[in-house]
Amino acid sequence: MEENKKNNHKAEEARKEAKTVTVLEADFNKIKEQALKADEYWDKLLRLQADYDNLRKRVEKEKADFVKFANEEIIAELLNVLDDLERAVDLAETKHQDLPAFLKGVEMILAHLYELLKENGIKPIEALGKTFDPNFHEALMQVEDKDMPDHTVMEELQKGYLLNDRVIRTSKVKVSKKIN
Amino acid sequence: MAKVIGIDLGTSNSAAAVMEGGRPVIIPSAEGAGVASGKAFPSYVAFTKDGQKLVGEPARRQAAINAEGTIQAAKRKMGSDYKFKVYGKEYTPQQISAFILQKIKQDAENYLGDKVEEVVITCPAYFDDNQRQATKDAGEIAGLKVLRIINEPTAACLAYGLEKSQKEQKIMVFDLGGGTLDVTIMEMAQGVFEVKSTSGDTQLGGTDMDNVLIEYIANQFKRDTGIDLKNDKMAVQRLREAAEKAKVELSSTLSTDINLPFITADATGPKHLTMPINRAKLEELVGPIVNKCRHPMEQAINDAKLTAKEIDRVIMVGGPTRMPVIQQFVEDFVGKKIERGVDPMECVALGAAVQAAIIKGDVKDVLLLDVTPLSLGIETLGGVNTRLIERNTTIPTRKAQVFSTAADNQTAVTIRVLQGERQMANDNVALGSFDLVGIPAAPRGVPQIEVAFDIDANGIVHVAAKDLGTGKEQSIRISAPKKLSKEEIEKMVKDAEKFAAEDTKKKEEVETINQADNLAYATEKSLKDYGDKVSQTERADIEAKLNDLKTAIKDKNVDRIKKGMEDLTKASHKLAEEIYKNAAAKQKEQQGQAGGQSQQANEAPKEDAPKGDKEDIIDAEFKEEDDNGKK
Repeated sequence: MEENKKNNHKAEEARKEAKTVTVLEADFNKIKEQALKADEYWDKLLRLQADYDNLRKRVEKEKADFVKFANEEIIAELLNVLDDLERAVDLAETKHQDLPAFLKGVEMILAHLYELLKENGIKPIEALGKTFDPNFHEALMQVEDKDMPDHTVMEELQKGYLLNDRVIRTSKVKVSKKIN
Repeated sequence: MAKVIGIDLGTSNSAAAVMEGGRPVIIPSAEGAGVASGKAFPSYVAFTKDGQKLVGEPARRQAAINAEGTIQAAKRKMGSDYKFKVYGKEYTPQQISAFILQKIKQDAENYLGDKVEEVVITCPAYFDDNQRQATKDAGEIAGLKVLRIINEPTAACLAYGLEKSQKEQKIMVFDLGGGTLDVTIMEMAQGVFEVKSTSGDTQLGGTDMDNVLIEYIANQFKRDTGIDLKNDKMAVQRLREAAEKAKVELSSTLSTDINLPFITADATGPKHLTMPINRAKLEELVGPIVNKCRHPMEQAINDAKLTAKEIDRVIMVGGPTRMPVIQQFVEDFVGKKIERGVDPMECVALGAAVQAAIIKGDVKDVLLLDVTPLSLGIETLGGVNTRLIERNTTIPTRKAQVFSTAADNQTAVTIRVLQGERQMANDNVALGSFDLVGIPAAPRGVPQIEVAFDIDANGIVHVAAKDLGTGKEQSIRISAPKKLSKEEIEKMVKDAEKFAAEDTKKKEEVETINQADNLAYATEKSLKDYGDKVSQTERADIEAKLNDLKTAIKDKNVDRIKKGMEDLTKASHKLAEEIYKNAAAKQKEQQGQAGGQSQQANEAPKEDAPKGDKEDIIDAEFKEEDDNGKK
């Protein structure tokens, strides 16, 4: 590579200019041996570094493959929810009259889905009536109110959720502004 | 040893990166990935009435109810005398930036499990001395030692490793963020970058594109239903999310659907929003915004006293540059393909980390590690390309694999070294070939020939073949594996994808032929050894089927080969039985006791041909010497 050439060139220049130093043969051999060792170690270092990089690439690939199928169980469960929803839609299309029974069915599907998510570490974020907390809530609007304490969540516009205690979606909320 | 990190202190988002094992990685912000903008976080600082300080995501989330206490885009005021006044207190832009840097420091320390004291921070190329000093001051206020302030476009180039190039280059960095466009023309020589000109538009960015899309969807909905969604904050919020998602999806697919059930309701009942949108529509909508990018590019190139043709490399920075319409526009304007391979949202922070490591000198040389742009392999039986080193493998690296011969008494093999992604040898670039001769005569599949590929740090490929039986070795040194241009490499990779189905079919054909050939060979051998154990008619039947298969192989008729293999296998069942019986008897004899249950005795050739089931021998064999003549 260019760099090597440059180095060689430099070395030659240095040789021309440099003074001659006399060393004992034993010392010279030792130096030579050390220089060879240094080259060997340098090559080993480069290879180790490349190995590390290739390992990293492999781990990344394995991780990507893992993620592809890691959701298998939950997705299999979701298929049941999908079936139920399809049944609901089919039924609704027949325009039956028993709305309460239909609603009950949809509620059961919802409960099932909710249970499924809960088993997988999902928890809803409590918001309504709480004091606004920017670590969990996102304020979309503010409404003046005489009775509510300042910065109280008055309405939950979109529910927020935690996955294993980490926020995966904030609650989108309407917050009070106290007026005196 | 304490790590040095690189920081992209952005107007709307900030991020940090660190060198890990010789390559820069983004440090995730403490709020975790998946929130808003991925690993970066919004450059927001807020003070609540009760005196709490918030930085990043939490600050943004409460901006709507605390406008007077929330500060964003402090970067725009850097280097000025401006003071942010919040609840009776005054803050300089440096102080606000320092809060952001402190958060980064903390997140980085949590991530690394180590103290972070020294940093490299990026700033726009057009920042004057005052603004740069202010950025440095912000670092000092945050308790960090700022090793260097570097230009954002320079950092982006470092992330792409452009400093390694020996050639002088003229580079255009096109940085389109959420709200600003910066175009920078730079010249790089010997790893040093010099800014030639800058231009831009401070009122142009991805947000504008989201807005036109939201506007369009809302208008369509209004036309269909008469309901204006823009009065409903929650509906707008859902619309914004859906629009952003659609925009991202349309970068990789040609059409998508926007589905927002129960978006609103009126007296007649619930209303749903469903709307298909295709890439052409999106591009039509953002067309006027995209066109605004032209003037800054023209100006920057003019100011640098260049023409578009003279630009060697184009680097894209910022999320919106992921959109194909933007990429196409820039490519058409410059007449060059853009660089790819680094996340445009991350590349400034990544480059800052590279700069930090270069300053510290701890990874300077290691940074020179390169990757093989294309796979390397050898030609094996039937003209198949057997890859030993996959593309994108970091070098120096070594890989060895044991092969065998394809014919009985084959005493020489030809190693043909190939570069490329295609499955059949002849569709790849041949780098060179050599023969390994003097292999002792042996049945096919028996000799063990180790082929080793070694690519050293300079990209020189050594290929050696060694007969493990005799220790005989032969090698070749390929000093300049065809220097292919980026376009050529891209084309080869694309071709491999394009012809994947075709190539796989061809390869399968070859594999079937090889398999059939093995079966015929094994059957022939069994017949020779055990033919007298079966009846004359059976023997004649096997021989007839064997001949059928052999002609089918000669004719390369895959369907007939498959059928022939089936027939031959069926016909030789009796023969196989005899072989097993014989083997069992032999074993009994040897062990001197009733132990005939071990049917799979070692010396009994299995029915399905010797499939190289010896350890380390893979089912790939060299072409016979003679075959090489026709290449």
